[in-house]
Amino acid sequence: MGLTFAAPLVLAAFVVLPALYYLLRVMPPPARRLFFPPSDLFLTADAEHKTPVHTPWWILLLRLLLLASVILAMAGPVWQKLSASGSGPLLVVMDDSWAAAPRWELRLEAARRSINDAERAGRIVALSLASDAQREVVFGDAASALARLDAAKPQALTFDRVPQLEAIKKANPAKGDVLWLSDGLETGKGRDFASELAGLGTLQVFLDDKPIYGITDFDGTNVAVLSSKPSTARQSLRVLDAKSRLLATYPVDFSSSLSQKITLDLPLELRNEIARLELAGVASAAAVYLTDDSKRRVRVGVFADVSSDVSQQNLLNPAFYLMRALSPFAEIIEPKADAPLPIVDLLKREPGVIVLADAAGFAPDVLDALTQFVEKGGLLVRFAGPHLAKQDDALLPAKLRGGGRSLGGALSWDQPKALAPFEEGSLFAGLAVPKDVSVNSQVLAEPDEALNAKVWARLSDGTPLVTADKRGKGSIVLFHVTADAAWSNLALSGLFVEMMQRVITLGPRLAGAKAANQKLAPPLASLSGFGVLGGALATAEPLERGVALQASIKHPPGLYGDAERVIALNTLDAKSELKPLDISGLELTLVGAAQRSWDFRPWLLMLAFALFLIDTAIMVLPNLLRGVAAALVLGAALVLPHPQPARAAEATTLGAKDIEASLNVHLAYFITGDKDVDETSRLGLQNLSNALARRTSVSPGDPVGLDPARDVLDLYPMIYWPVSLKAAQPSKEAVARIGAFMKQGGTLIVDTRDAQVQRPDGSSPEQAWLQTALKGLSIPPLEPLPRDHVITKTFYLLDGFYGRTVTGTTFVEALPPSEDELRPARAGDSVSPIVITSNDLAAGWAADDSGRALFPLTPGGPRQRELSLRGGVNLVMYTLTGNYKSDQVHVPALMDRLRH
Amino acid sequence: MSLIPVHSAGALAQEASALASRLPLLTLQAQRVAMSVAYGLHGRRKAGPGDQFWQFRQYVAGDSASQIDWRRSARSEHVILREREWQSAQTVWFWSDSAASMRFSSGKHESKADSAVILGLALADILVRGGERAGLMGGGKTSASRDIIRILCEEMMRTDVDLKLPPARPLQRNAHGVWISDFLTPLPLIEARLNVLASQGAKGVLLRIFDAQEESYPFSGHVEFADASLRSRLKLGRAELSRSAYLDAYGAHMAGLQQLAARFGWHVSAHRTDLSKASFLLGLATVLAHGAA
Repeated sequence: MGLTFAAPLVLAAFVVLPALYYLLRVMPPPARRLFFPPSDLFLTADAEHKTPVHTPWWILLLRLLLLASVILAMAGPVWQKLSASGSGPLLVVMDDSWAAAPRWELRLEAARRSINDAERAGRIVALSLASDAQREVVFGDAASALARLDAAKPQALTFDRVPQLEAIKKANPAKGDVLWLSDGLETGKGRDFASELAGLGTLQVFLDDKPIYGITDFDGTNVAVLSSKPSTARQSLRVLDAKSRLLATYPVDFSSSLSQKITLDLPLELRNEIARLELAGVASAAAVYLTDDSKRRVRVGVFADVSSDVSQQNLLNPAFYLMRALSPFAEIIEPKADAPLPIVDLLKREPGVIVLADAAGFAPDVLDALTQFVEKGGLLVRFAGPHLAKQDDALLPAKLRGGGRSLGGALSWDQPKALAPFEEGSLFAGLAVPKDVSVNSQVLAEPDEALNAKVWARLSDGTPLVTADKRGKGSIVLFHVTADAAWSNLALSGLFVEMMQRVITLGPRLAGAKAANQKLAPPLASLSGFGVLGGALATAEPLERGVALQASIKHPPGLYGDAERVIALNTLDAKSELKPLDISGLELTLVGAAQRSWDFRPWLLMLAFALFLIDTAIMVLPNLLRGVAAALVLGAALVLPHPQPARAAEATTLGAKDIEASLNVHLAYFITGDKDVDETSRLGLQNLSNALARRTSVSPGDPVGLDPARDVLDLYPMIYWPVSLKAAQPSKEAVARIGAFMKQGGTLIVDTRDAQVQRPDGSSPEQAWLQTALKGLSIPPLEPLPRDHVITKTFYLLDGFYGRTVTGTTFVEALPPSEDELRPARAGDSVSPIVITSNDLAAGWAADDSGRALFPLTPGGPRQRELSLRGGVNLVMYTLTGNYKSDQVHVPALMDRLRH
Repeated sequence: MSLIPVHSAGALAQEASALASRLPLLTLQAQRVAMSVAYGLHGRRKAGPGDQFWQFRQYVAGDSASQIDWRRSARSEHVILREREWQSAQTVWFWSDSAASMRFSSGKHESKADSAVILGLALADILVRGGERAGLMGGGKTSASRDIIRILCEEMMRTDVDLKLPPARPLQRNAHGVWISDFLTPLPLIEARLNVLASQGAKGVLLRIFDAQEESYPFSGHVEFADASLRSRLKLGRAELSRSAYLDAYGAHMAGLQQLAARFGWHVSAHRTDLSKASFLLGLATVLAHGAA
């Protein structure tokens, strides 16, 4: 063990400390700079008065400490165990499997260090990579070994160690040092490998003490996660969709058992979205599990043999019940309305499951097609009904007794039968049976010895309700009741949905169903050893569909197929196990976790930075009492290394300003950062507020300047947004909040203030600025203010909105076209979320306290000022009252006023 | 070292517009201050031009026919004249210093410049309501209009902002001068200018505005004194050591100012910016009234 310095020469810089001490002592604390007029006249700079105050001792200490820590940090102090240097050739054996990926840098570092040491000692070096086992092991100079080392990347595979050992033995090196950077897994006869290596010389084994994790299986609901060692560290399993959005996170705890089963309690819709499972913070290919279509929706073909008038009435149509029950977790297809052979039509679209409600008496070719479908692995689910009761066929799990039976009818002694609880081992085991589900009619199976095994659900009298049978690779399931409410109210219960959900899990998934079409699935994307999905590896070969999949060099883990039919090949499969390497009892030295070195540089730099911050704080707060400052130094030194998480909820908490804003109507404007513009906005809105208070029943409070990125916007009905080219573009967050404000019913008055500089086509730098700023906002279609827009009638009758200028066009949300030409005012259903003008409204409104205008207007005159204020009044009234004035009630009065 | 800070033209214009934008507010304050000080017309106690009736007397040859009170004459055998009391209007010329040093304020109260404008306008208003005429030195015209505050404001806006001393133009013999400033100018300069102003015998008041800090000098430690644009002028390692020297120099300057004014027969009146302006104005108006009487 020992403390070493990466750059010990830097330590020589410590000689400057005394010099600095002297300098700092001489440097006075910063002066307070004051404006004090009599100083010119009555003060002179006497030598005596110029004598500076000495720097206080604690500032001195602080700065010396700061410099010392910087010097120390630059010298790169590292605390590490020193490895004894050996002799003879050095063989570095590197496991570059996925299990080595999580601490790859550490391994590289260890390998590099050994190789560098060997180079310094003038020893020859060879590097053998597990992924490149066939390659001849050549001893040579360190540079080529280092170059290969740098190029090495962990693979998403584990490798057999036997060929590697052979290659190593073939090199037949002299006795020397062997460094094995093991991935920590027994896979591929790790222990034998180690003992063989030990025979080649002094063996050092790098072994990571961290457990190795892997996801081995996922069946759509349950995830199997393995760990190589018990660990108290809590892992979390992240469930992501195809766009890498987080769907859910589950804690995984390996403290009790190495193998954990996690049940994803996600709604089925979400479960279908799952594209990737990963263990958070574990950078290895095994900690990632890719899913494909086989884990996703089943395509279910539904056909009910009913007449067309029945199919029009949902509640009489069995297909309707089936579709409602299946839609949450299956893709449903129906036969085309005009298909002559509906079932064949369904089969052509390659469903995994066919559900037939009361279909019987198939034509021979339909029967053939269906039989073939089942034999090939399809699932056929059938429901009984009047047709089936009359004639049965071969595609039934059991032979039916003709006629069926009815219970509880007028001609029957029996009461309607309830369901018996599901038996253990049945597909439906565990589902609760509601008491109010009863069966009036059913079809009965001929009792024989084989029947019992085929029954999945029974009625309370023991007669079968659901029977099923294997047929070829597929199965046939029969519900002995109808899929509608005619024979039983089962179809109305929640149980029906749950039963259907379980039944269709038997069906083959989409990928399997399509298998016949394409034999080979080309590689689409490959997992790196770190678990990152990247481009397909050049070595990857197409995958044969329908063949049991296992990751290999030819077929590295990743995605295969095309965008439509993806097959995921994962690093681990259900049979994989993570057996840790056991090398106890072998003659070797362990390096790795124990050899971890402590690099003090970041800590020293952090300390220096903290000291610098404190020093700066003291410099800018010269009035602080020195004692208080000294206390702060100590306090801050303790606090700074543990920075508190930033207050994330800042924006959502309501400040005093917001509470004030919610108690009264306030006009608001966005602070652009351009002082003149902001002041104009404030004065303009202030005068508009005064005008509103004088002329209308609205008495707004003082106008409020808002920062869109920070302030709560929803409290203001209308926000004035002057465009200033000097202003910075609003941040993404600000834009999002502006969007939310508009969506929640607020009105944004955007003023480009450029009516006079616009080019004839309406473009100007301000317009370009605005377009950039509004990018990402959903802006409704706009139109130039129509003459009959309600905004021109809300308080005054106006022709347009004037400010400092009058030539600019005002744009509002486009109204639906007018139906009634006579109506003088038109409005949409809601207030236009945005009004864009270019007339510099605020400058038109702005006035000083005594009501005198602050800006010259173009073309000018008191009339323009008045019209501008009226426009403002109308805007505010519009945001507050919406389409109120377009109501029919006001038409006579408006017409009357318009006429005069 | 120049006493008047050098400002760029842009900064000056900005300063002027800042003052101009504050003027309405200052006007309002000035009006309020003036309203709280009642100051009556003062008659000359002899016949002359005026509004108030003074006496009747018999016509003597040479009197103007327009002065004859025909109704009164008709009741007697003599021709009677109606004489009014002579109400002479004093002319008061104002000058308010608006140089950079006047922008100083140590606290939340107005700066010296604002105080100066308020006091000047209020005083003008009081005087005009009392029948005098007021004008701005260098402005040229006097007015007795009720709207004197606005008129003076407009004149102020028209003149330069950054002048430390009033224009060197003598005041008429009977006129009064009101020179509002912090008088942080070397005494010889003040003397020279006062010499010009009072060269025809005009009397007046030097209205000295000062900030509390200027009298107390509450500084200690390492202090860097700067001008209005915060450009450094003087660094003191330990400001508290200069306190006594400062107070001495300050006291001497003010005493010198007092003597100087007395030599010309002018008054010195001092106002601290954080104190009530109304009570100060009342006292000042009395001083002026005596001077005018």
